[in-house]
Amino acid sequence: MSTELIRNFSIIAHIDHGKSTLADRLLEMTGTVSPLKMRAQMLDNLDLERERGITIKAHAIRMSYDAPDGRSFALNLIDTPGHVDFSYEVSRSLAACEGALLIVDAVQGIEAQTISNLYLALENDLTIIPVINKIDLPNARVDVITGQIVDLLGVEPDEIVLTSARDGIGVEAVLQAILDRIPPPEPDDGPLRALIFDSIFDQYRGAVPYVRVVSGEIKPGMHIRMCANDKQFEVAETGVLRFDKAPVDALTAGEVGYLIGNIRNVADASVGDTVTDAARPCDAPLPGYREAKSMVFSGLYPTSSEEYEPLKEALEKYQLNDAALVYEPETSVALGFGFRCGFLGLLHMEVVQERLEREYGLTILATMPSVEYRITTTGGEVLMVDNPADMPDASYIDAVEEPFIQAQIVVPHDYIGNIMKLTRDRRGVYKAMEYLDPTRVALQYELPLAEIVFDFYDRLKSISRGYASFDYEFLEYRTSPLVRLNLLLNGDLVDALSIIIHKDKAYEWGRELCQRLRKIIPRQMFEVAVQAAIGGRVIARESIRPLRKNVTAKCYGGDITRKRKLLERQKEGKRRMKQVGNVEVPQEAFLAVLDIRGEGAAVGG
Amino acid sequence: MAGLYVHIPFCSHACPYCDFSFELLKDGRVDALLSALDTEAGRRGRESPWAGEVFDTVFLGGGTPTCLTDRQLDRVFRTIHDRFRVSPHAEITVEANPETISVAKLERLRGLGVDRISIGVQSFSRDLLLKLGRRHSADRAEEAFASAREAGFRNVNLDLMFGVPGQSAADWADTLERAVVLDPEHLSVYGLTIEPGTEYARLAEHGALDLPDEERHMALYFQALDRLSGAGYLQYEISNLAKPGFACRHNVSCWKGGDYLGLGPSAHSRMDGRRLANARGLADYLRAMDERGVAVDKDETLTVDERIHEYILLSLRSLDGLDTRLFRDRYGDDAMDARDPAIHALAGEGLLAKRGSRLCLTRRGLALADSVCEFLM
Repeated sequence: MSTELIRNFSIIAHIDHGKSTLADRLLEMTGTVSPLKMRAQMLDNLDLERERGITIKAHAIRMSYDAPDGRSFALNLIDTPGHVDFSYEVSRSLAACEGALLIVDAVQGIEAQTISNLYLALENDLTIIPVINKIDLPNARVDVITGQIVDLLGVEPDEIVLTSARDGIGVEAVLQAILDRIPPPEPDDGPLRALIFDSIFDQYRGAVPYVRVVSGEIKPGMHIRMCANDKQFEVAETGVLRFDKAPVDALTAGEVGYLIGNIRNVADASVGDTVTDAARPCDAPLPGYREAKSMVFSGLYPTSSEEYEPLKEALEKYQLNDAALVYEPETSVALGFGFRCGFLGLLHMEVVQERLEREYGLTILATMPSVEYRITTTGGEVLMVDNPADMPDASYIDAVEEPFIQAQIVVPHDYIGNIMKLTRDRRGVYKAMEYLDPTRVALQYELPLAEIVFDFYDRLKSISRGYASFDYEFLEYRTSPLVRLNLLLNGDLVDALSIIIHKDKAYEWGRELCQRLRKIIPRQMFEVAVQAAIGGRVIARESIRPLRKNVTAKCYGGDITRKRKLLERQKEGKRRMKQVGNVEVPQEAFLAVLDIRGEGAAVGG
Repeated sequence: MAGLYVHIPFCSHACPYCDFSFELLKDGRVDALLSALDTEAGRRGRESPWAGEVFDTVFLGGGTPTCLTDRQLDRVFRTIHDRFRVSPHAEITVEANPETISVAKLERLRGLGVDRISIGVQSFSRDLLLKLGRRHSADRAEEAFASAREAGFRNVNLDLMFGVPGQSAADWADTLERAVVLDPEHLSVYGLTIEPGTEYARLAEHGALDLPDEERHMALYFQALDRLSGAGYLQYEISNLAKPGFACRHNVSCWKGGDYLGLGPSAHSRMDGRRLANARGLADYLRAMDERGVAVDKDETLTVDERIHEYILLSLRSLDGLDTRLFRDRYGDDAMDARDPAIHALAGEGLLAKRGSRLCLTRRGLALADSVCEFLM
């Protein structure tokens, strides 16, 4: 079809600013789906997305729109994941578009994610259509928000579209702005180049990449080549994305759709890769491809050894739909056999764990999240360590570097003091502050990623009464005085409780951890020493008094069965405990550690 | 060879700590129970595996069997002797409370073949008896013991209880002394356990019971073991001590895994690997007997693991300990070897000791018997 009649666009917004609702209205207005069939937030089709109100995977849909001037347009809405963890996917989705709707909540105004997503859109040279949504709300502050947007984007106030997506107000104006302002894609009949901006896995048809064709065309029968790994596939089907896949004869430059080519391995259809014609390859792939990089790591263990195989199968299946999840087998002395998993970020980690539990009926024990440290040994060797248990002894370490992030925090100015304190406690480096309007500021910090992987976001929310928003991107590796803190039970190392921590924080962490374990680990038949140590130096110690007596009551007739069953039940309960040396450690012990910062008691927080 | 247990659930009043199956004494119901017991005994006595069995121990427990009238007790023993073959050398025990026995009643029991009496003294401290809700005085308890001797009982047990709210080491020492002076053949010393659903549980929850802490409770236990062993009693089970030759044969057989038949509400039976339990309450028991002619409401066959667990539990509670050779013969080498690390760990902690082919709880292990057993399960 003529590229003149195509518009490719995304919607970017901070969480809860109404992105999905506006998308729903656009689908209704264009007759793509009837209001009767409409489930709220049509595009968010994972249960978890619907519950959390966030988009986890990108989606795409094609709408047909008969404009008032009589022309019939194809509008491709390429939805973007709404979270910082998926910023790479966001950037690839944006790269498939010519324009973006930037939605700002009429009450909340500009938030951290608004800014970071806007920067991504601008990097991709997109035309931005600013939209103020929820103007129907009684406390809407359209004038103030207009001012914020004018300042941020340098647009005229009348370029901003006002909507209430919930009530359908202003949706036609949005459609008109898409036609008028977003440029159509450039026609280009050079060799095939198609950007993969998303990929799903169909158990019968394999990996199904969603592509934006930038040049040339793609049609069934041709052989394509993936630029990232040079693998070739024969195209079996091409089509556009309505609610179901709708096959078409070919996808030409400017179009958005899917292709099917018996791609069995999801890794062969990586987001960001370029598809080209095997017979007439392009000179160079489209810019910007990189492999999804794990930022946060955690060990996932089954709660009982019988669940190891089911967990393994669940991870295999899960990965088919989410190539960003990486994992490898790992063994812990304390927890047995499990998997070291790498995640894009915290939300990704939570989502994976939750979906594994929910969709595969597993109970998972997750170890403390870690980041990836770069360790230079005294021998000059460089090691990447994402599991504290793998950190070499201090005497072999020359330097430890940790990942730093660039963080955006947007907050009402009343809370600046709290934010400053929190970021200082988390070893943050203040960089800049900018007033978005007289009451809201955007703060920029550089922070160690390790300091935000626990509960930074929750703390941020609680010290700002929920008003602060936060976004981040990876900055660089920096040298820090980090040590490995070990936890010992009766002298035996509990590897799953080791952490890598800044040396100034080690003492408090160790003390808090020991105290917490003393409360959680039930008394045993012998005294249990709980120690925190750096290398051979014990820095904190607690002791769990031994259990001295059971009941010495009668045990006749029926008592025997009763007592046997009672002990069997207790024993069964303990089977779910983990054995460290001769100490039985309940699983809560491994989880409680995650709460240490949540209490805010130990490490500043 | 097997044991016969008959449960007489009646008591003249409720003790605030007790969670045994009991009923307040009402005449009409006693007769109903005795009829049902006779029906149950008749049926069991004709059935496998009990038909033709010679019972060499009989135990009448409760409740308070001695709160029955002479006529009622006669009827119980008529049922026993009519329905079963009881060895002429059988040990026949009846449980009694001090306030329910007299020389006349004890002589009558002797006449019915009873040769062992077990008296629920609990304490010789007036205050503590009141706290325990017992109806007898310390003097009455001593009189009851004297009555038993007068009636010709040469095998008498006294039940004593420690860990009672407000009990001091001196109180306990006094109770132990008075028991030793009486010189019974057998003593059972029990730690008070707060059982859910009892009056004591309710009080404890409100903090209204001055219970000894763990250390004091344990000290009271060892105080009893020390004093009584000094007086010539041998401990043969966690809570039981006896003069040489006077261990309770009924209970020893039960702990050694012997079969026993239980009659009456809440009574349990053991038939090789099977465990049966009767309906617990009197009303349920009577209804079941009336409607079905049996009152069993639980009938399970133990798995090998469950048998092993039971053996561990019972053998370690006995001072003879767990016989590793017997264990291997019965349950296989794998089951024994798999427990080696646990045994080693327990021995290392001084809770378990090896004596030849036997594993026995140490003194410290006695107080932790449940934990040790659980560890070995």
